[in-house]
Amino acid sequence: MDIVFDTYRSSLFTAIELGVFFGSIGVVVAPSMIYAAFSLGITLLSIAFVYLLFNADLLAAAQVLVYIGAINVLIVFAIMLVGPAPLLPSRPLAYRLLCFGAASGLCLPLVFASTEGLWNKTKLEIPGEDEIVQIGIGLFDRFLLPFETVSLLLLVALIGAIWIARARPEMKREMPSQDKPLL
Amino acid sequence: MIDLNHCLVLGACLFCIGLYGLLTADNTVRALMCLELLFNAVNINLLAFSSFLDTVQSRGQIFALFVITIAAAEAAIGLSIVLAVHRARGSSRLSFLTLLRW
Repeated sequence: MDIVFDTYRSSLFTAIELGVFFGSIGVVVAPSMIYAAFSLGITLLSIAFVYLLFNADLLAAAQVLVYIGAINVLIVFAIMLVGPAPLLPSRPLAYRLLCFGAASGLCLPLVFASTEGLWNKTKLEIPGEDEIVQIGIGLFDRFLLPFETVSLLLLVALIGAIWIARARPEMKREMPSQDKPLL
Repeated sequence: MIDLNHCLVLGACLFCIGLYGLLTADNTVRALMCLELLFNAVNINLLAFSSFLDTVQSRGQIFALFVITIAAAEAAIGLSIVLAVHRARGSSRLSFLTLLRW
């Protein structure tokens, strides 16, 4: 029964991993911005399932609520407000190859370091009943100062976002041109 | 069986895909989406370490909560900057973000 459960669990994990992988590739290569946003939603939902497999229920709920419910919806709104980008030539191929080399040059050492024997732990421990209680105690005991600081930062960031995004009548639409200096 | 190596490799791959997208994006909104991928890769690593190595206090989960909060603030600020730039310049291309260059 245990073996059946383990096989079920690991195949589920593989399927979720494929969702994360192809979703993130879709964010990067999707031709239309709105498809990229939907692909980001698939990725975030798959990551929420990864958290569920880690037995981190609170973080899975926070992932769905904050990332999919707030950030992804905000991104979709921004895409709708900004409208389609004009068709302009994309980055040159040499630059993209350089970026690919940089990203894979970071990826390979990371993968080698991750598959080292030091991190070869297979036992996912079942948390106790009071895991969320422990998180709450940690937030209000040991991490009280970062918690309060981050709440202040969130308040300042949201007020600042409203201040930046408000409509200003004196601001003119101005396309950058090559011959005259920008502001 | 889920093991820790596997989760770390997943986080590393997600980070590198997001980094490639961030470097090559020519649309500001796409760059912000790739930034969210980077935050999520970090969160996967934090949660993997938390649930494999520290199940008593779950400190990794607390850190991941902080990261999610910072990501929400970053998304709000970033998208409002996109809207402001779109209003000023009529486009959301990253190469038009030159108001403060000189």
